[in-house]
Amino acid sequence: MKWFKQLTIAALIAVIGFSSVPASTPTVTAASKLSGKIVINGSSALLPLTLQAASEFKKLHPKVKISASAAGSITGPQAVRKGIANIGAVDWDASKDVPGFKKFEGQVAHKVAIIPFAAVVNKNVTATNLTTKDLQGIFSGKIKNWKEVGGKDAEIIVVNRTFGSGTRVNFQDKALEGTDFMTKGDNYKEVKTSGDMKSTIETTPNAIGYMDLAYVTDKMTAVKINDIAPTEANVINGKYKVWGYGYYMTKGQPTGATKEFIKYVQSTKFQNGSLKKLKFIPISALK
Amino acid sequence: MQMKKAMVISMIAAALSATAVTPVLAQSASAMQAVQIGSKTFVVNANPVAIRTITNAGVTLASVRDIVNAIGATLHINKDGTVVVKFGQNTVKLKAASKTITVNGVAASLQHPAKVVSYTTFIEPAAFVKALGGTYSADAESASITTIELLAGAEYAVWINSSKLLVSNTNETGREDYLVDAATGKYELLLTSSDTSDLIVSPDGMSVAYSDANGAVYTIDLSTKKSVQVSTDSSIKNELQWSQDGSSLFFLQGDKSSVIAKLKLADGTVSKVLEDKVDYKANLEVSADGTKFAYYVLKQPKVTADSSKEVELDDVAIDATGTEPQIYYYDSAVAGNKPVQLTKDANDKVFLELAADGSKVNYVSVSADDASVGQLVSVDNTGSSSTTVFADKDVYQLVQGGSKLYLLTADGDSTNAIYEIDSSTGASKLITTVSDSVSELIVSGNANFAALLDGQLAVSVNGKWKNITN
Repeated sequence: MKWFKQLTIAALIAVIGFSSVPASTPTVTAASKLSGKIVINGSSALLPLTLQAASEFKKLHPKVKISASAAGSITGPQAVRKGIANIGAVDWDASKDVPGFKKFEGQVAHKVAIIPFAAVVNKNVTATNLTTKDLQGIFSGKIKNWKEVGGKDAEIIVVNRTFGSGTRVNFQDKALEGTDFMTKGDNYKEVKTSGDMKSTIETTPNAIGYMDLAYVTDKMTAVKINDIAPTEANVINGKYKVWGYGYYMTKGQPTGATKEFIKYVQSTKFQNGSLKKLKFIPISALK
Repeated sequence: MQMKKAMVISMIAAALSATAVTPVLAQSASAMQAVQIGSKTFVVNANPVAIRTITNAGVTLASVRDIVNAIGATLHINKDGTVVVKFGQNTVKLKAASKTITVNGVAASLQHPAKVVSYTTFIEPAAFVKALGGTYSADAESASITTIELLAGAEYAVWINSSKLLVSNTNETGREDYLVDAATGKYELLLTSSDTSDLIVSPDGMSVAYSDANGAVYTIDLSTKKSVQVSTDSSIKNELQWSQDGSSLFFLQGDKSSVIAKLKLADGTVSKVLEDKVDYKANLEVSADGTKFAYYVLKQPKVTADSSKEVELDDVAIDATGTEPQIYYYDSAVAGNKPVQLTKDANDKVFLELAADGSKVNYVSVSADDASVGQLVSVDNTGSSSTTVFADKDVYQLVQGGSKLYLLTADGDSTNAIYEIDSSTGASKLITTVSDSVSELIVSGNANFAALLDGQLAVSVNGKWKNITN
């Protein structure tokens, strides 16, 4: 890269210090000239990461407009296929078939983060260390009372994400090992986004749900699964199994502002900085 | 790589030699022999410098004085004609027509004698630079002198004071932060980290602050390089900002940056300044007295999707109406106060700068159309008065330096321009033009300029730009 750097200072000097010299034509375009609009939709788990990246990216590329929304992972690649979004944020690789969802033809998956998922309970729940079998029983509706898993005598309120949620796909696959969810009942609720899950768990006594670690607050408890706490360290050391990759899906290979934005999110600076701070794990951590 | 390097140095040389010293005919005082003084471009500590040269018996000799000036050494001529050059710990003595020099009192041989032409002493550059403790390399097209090891590249930079910058580079494992002398490029490592926020320099330039992935906050005293943990609070902290008096840090708290919070450095306590349940605040700005705040809010488009329908139907719609970023102002000194929305237009808004007294917010407004033209706009803290301050050229960046505002704007086909804006009157003044490779302008409180271009850092010294990374 040294030759390139020396070229740039030569170009700068040509313009300022030695103004009588015909300015050599720079071979690069200043980052600030990059323009375009990026529409991102999909995973609510990835939304905090996307919007943090957006506010940082806008300072580097102020002419790029970014709009980000979330309504569940499946709506990401759907919006890309429909042509109303440039990036579909999704908690699984939607370019491949996964249980429940066929692959999205022609879409390219870009890994952007490792997302740890946690089973969470309302602060009043005392059973905070559950086995896989406990979770399978609770979320399938077979276990109905907290006292059956070591808690107090109270009916369990199960809060589930709606179909199409990437968090749901990952939780069912990795925490419940494929066991089906219950789908109805007086003590069963479905919510559309991670934000809705957060507020429901925080405000509903005896509730249990699940979300990505970034959304966990001090107004709820993230339970241990098989004695293992949901932490970044336990994901990296292989003890905690409930995690997945977060992806940005694009229609073919990305170009222009979309390509640069994905590069920024994948950059060491963002991965080791803001992404870690938001409780995601860099994609390089498990290489 | 070697070929590319040689090619580029050649390009630098070509650019300089077009303007450098015009060759003249001169006569050696001693030999009365016509010798042509020419000029060659040497890359001295990563910067091209024109050095006078002569060719004697097929060998290129370089001006002692030009090399001395280029590297910052000192030169003295004794009464007996001995030239004494001092650089760092090294002292070199040489005489015209002699093939012997002394280096720190020890004799060393030259292959060719030093020669005086038109009262200027010329010498073999390789031996001379080596004697001064530097390294010299040359090929058929270029030559370089290195006496200072410069930092390899610069991704992020900010002035600490008028003579020093904080420069950061990332690598595969994390980030390294350096203190870099603006005059010489000399640098020292300040921090190596793997999961920290950018270092934020205190207003007095004495400390930096940062947070780690666990939310803990640290400060480093830049005189002692000692790091101190000032808070164990584990909440997510975005966009740390120093209070003007250095006693507190403000930040956006939480994974959705929904709370404005304050950390008192004296006791590490964290308190909430504003908790209004509005998510995704960004570009936090704080007034000098620490009571007034400005920020913009990133709103999310409304998505409608029916999860009961077949996935293949793509039954999803995104309505972005009214979700453009808007600027808000909050005065915490007024009890029961609520944030005031200052803008309502559809333009994008970046580079917010809150006036020190909190009276207005300056920002770059980027047009909502495809042209994305940037203008400098000022809005008062009630939102009732908005003024376009600068619209002569497309504005790329706004940065505050002391009481003035500075703009990096479009200019010619291959240039950008730097403007100074008087924030009280709105008057603009062209400072200079720079290469359009400049991607970021960095201004100190005393209006020292630096620029990032293609991963390098250059500083402006007396109107000329000097590269201080390599």
